[in-house]
Amino acid sequence: MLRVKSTLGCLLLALAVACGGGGGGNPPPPPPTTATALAYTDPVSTGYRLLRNATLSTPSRLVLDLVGPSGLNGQGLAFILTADPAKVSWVQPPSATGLVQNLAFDPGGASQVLTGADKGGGALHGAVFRKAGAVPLGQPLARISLTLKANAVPANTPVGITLTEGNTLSDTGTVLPLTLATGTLVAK
Amino acid sequence: MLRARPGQDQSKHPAPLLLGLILAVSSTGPALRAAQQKKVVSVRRDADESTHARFIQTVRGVRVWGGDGISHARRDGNEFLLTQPVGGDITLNTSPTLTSSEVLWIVSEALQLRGPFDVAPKVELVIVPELERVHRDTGAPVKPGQALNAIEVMEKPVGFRLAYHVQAAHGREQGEAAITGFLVDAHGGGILQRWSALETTGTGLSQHSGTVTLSTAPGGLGHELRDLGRGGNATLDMNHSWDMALNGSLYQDADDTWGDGQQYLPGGSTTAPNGQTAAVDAHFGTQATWDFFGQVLGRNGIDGAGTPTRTRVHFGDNYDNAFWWDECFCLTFGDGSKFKTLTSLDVVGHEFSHGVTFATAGLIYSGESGSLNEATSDILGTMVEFYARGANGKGAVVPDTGGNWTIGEQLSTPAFDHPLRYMYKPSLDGGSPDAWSTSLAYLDVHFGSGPMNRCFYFLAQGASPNAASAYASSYLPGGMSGLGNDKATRIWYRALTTYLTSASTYLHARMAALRAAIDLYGQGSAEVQAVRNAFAAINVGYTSGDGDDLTPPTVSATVVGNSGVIEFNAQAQDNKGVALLVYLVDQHKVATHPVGGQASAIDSLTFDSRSIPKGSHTLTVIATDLVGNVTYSTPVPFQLSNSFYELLLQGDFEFGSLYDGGVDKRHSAWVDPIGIISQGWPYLGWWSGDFCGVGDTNTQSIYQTVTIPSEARSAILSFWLEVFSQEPDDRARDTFQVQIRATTGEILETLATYSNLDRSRLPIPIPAKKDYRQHFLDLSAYRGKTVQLWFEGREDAAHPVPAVLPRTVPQPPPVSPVLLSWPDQDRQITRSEAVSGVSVYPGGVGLSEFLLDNVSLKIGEIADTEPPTVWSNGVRGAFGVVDLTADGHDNLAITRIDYLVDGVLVGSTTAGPHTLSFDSRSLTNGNHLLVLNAFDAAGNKGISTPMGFSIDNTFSQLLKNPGFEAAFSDWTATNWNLAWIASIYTPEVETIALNGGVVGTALPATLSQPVFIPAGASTAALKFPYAMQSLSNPPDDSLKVQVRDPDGSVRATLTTIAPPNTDAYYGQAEVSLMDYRGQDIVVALVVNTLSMPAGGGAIKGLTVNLDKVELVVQASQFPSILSQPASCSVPSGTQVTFSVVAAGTGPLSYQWRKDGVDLPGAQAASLVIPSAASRDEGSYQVLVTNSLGSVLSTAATLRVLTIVYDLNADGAVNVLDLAWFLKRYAPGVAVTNSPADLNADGFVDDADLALLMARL
Repeated sequence: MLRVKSTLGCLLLALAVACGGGGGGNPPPPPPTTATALAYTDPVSTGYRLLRNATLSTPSRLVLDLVGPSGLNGQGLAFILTADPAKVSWVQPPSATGLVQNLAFDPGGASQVLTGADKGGGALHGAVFRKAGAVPLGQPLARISLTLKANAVPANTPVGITLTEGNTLSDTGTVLPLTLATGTLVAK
Repeated sequence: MLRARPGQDQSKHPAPLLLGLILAVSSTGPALRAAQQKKVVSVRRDADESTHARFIQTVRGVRVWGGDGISHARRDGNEFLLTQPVGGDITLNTSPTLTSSEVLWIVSEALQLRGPFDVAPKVELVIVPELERVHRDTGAPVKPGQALNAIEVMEKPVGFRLAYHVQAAHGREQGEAAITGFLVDAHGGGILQRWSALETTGTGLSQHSGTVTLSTAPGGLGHELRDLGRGGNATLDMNHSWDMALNGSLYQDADDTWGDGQQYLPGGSTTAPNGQTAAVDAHFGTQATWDFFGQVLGRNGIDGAGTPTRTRVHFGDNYDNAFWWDECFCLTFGDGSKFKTLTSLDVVGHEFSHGVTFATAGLIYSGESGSLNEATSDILGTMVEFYARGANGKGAVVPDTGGNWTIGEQLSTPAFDHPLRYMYKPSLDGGSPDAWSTSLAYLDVHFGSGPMNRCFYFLAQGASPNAASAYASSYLPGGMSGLGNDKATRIWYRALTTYLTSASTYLHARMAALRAAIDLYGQGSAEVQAVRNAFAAINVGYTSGDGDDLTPPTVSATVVGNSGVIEFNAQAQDNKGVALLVYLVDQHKVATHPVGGQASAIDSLTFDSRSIPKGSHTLTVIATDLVGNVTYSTPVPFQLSNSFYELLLQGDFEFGSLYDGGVDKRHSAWVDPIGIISQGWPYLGWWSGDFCGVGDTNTQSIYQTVTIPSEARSAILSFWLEVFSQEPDDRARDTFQVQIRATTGEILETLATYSNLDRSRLPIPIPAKKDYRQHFLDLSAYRGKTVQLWFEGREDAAHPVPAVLPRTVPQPPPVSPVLLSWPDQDRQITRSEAVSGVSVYPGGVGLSEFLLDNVSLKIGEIADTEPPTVWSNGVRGAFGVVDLTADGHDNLAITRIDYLVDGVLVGSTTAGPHTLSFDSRSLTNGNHLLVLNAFDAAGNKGISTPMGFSIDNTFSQLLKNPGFEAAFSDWTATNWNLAWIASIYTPEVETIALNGGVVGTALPATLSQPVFIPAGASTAALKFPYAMQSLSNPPDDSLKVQVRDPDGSVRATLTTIAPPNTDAYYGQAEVSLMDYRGQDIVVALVVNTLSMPAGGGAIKGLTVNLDKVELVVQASQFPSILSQPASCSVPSGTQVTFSVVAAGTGPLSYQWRKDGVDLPGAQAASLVIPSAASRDEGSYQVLVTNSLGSVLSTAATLRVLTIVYDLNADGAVNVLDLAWFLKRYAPGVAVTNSPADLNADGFVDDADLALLMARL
């Protein structure tokens, strides 16, 4: 009981000084903080986009669903995403068996073509296809996930997540470049 | 059973009354065929009016060998004894397979006679007990065999055989006298026993008897050697004839002064004075012996009736022996060469005494009884010498002086300078033992007599306590005092004439002498003790009177449990030791336990109570002590409460033997008045029910009364039945019925009828007797009733039937071939059947024989949920049709067994024997699994443990009927016959072929069969086991294996098999026929028939027995490729394996080639390229080779690819290429030069996708 009393007394003192402001020399610097959470702001886009899965995400684990444009059908897509490896790591989405989870292209089926690999340097190579046949693209097509590296990132540090390259296979068999809208990611 | 004749005053004839009682013991009730009887052959009444009736035992009129006995009744009728009780009920089929003439042929062959017998032999059908010597005292410490006293062993019959007793006189052609006794198996023809029946002095001598007074008669030249005062005994001159049947010429003389007192000079006249001398000795010896028996022992001549004997001298040339011959009732003496003329007083007395033994105890002249026979002659011959010389042949006392204790000492010459035998110390002759041992029974009777001679010497003259003395015995270290010759003679004579029987042993002799001494001198007398001492001195019994114990054991019993496996306990005590405990349930024997002679025996028996009915029972235990005293325990009641149980008692018939330690009780649950249940041809064990087989009108039956519980839900009768019949297959003539009768005997229902139409599968005139089949009948309709379960066989009237198989032996009348005993190879041969062979078998009289065994009536009172237990005893055969075997048991009955091979049902059986013939050619070669599913009536299923077996149908057997199981079907058999051998391990009867025999000149005996040898056979071998024996000495014939053309001409003799000597010769022949591939040939086995001169005589030739003749070929197995190597295109760096699967006769070798060039070291079925590179591209093949040739595989191409994975040409191979690939992905659509066809196989498919994915 005695020690609790003492600690509480100092804290109250410090608050009083800070609030008092003004005169009397430089204020002490704020204590250093490291990020403990990833804050992601979804992009504003109707094309291919990465949206935060609020259900599956936690403060330290960000789960992103790659959603396609509505009104179109496609056979699949491939992408190379890059994120700063000093700050975040590609991890398996919950319940997935790899770094990329197929959500629409015959997931788990015989015609599924799925791959996801961390090729180093923060590059995630992922692909989700059907061997044949297209599906509507206006739905979550693939899922990826990142975690913040512990004790490595100062709080409020932006973390870039960019599409290096990607393509899609349309329902007509055309290979098109992938344009993917990503949101803002900050380590908090 | 005891019935006096009308009008008979029983009170005046107590002894015959008791005799009648004894004889009634096993002369059981009315029988349709006369079964077992005891027939009185002589009755003697002593001065004290005790009666001694000698009887023989017969079964259907056939005498039991050694089965004679004597019943003794005292005047007061209060006591009777039975000397050597015979074996009670002996059940045996007394119909011989062999005729007496066939047996004489066998005997002739055994004697190797070149001519006829000297005298027509005496042939008698007898029943011979098969005796087993049992160690009577197994209590600690166990004595080794040689240390056993005679009282510690006993002989018990373990079976009976029908045999011929043949007494054959022969030897004339060899210049000798010979009489040989034989016991010949009346079915198999094997010689069971053979012995010299010439009752002689062995290697006897002769001696002059000085100046003697002869009793002669007027006649002829004036006087003749005929002793009218002694029955008319005559002395005859054989004048060197070897003819045993010759009567001889009566000696005559003008002046009644005979002989010259000198040894006969060879070549001299046999009637001149020098030649008369032998007659003088013989005549004098005969009259002295006659007087000895008459004046001392009160016996009138040899047979007690004063019948004269003939004494023949100058038998043969220089004959070194003398003999008594039962048939001729005469004594015969030779002149001797190594010995003096063999007419010394003790030798004449010896031969005369053989006659007395013949007329009284009839001791069989072999084994221990033969030794006692011979000893009796030595003993009494010696006493004749003492009497004639010590008492001058006068008076009624045998003196202790005037004679000596050696035999034939007066016959000695420089060539043989010692006595024949030494009664006081038999071992001095170098061959006789001084005391009894277990091996005595195997000695020549002239040596085996030694201990009894010594025993008599001790009895008469005492034994020395000085261990170094020749007159001392280590078995009686303290020595003993003798009784004197006179008392000893009387004791032994009474033992001989009153208590000994034909098969008596030394132990019997002891008891006989003890009884005789008690009769003569009283119980507890010094004479009785002297008898004990004298026998103890030769290791027969003990001085203390062990073996004379009359105190029976005490015994009590308890039962633990009331269902399932229960426990019977018994406790018994005896002053001398308990030898045996017999357990009876409801007075029916269930087990016999030898307990080793302990003074106090505690024994137990675990007993499956489901083997007897539910409800109330009693346990009785019979205890037998070491000397045969018997006590029955107080019956112990017990209750059983099983839900499933056996209702019949003794359904396996194995309660059989009567001889368990002298417990002469049958304890049969079956009513079997005429001995249907007998030893012979069981399905299992030793005993079975043997019905009919008479060949004429008769009905034979057994039954058992059963009460089927009212609560029974199931009542299943099962039994095994074999039917043998000679009836033709036209209609059911002879029948076997299963009947249910009321307890009054009225037939309520005939459940089943079998007949000669159900006979054994073998159409042969000899019982197969191993072809039992299982039958089931439902008796549940009789629940709640007490009924009789009857098994009844009936035969119709005799009528001739034709021979089943044609005669194949041409005239002259064939002689029977000889069946050899096969060596025990992979089977146990228990019996052999029939020498006769079909070729000489004249058909039959329409007899049928029904064999019943393992009868069971299973009761179930609750729902059956217990599955059967089933197992396989293996798969017989490895190619072609094989036999899948099954066996099992169930609490009620197994109603079906399914046979599954590799999980596929291939057949079922619904009754035993559970054996399924299965054509293995539906299987691939190699290993397979047999599983059996057994079902009971309730549908419960039992599954066997899987049994692996192997099939190789590259082999096949080309000869038909290789084992002669269908007689000579498919064979051409000229002068070959058949015989049958049964095995206890398989239900089959082994049929064998054997060459025939003819009277006159031997004929070729050829056994042949045509066959085509496949051109492509990789092996072709004629294989057969054989047994052969040469009857010619030295061997003069052989078995030839020939290849003949279809027209019969001999192309080649491939091998010749001949025995090296006259011993039985066995082997396995194997001859290659590979040189005849692609040809039609005839394989032939050739030997000559046996032959016998037309006038009779020795059989010549080589007897050959063949069991199974097979021609095994293996189909040509050139190498062939079952799986070819496959082409492939692989990225560089990939490991590539080319494989081939090939078949063919091994060993197979491999050589891989690339582009037609052998690859060094590539000599396995697979070729591995660890990391394919462009240099490895090419055409690959493998050459597979065996001894028959080679085969080259098809070519497999290897392409090593350089693949462009960067399908979008962006300089990198990554996931972005997938879209470009999938754009072109089209499995099953041929493409040309598509960049997505990564493996360049003409298709963009998963193989390409896999290649690409592997790079991402």
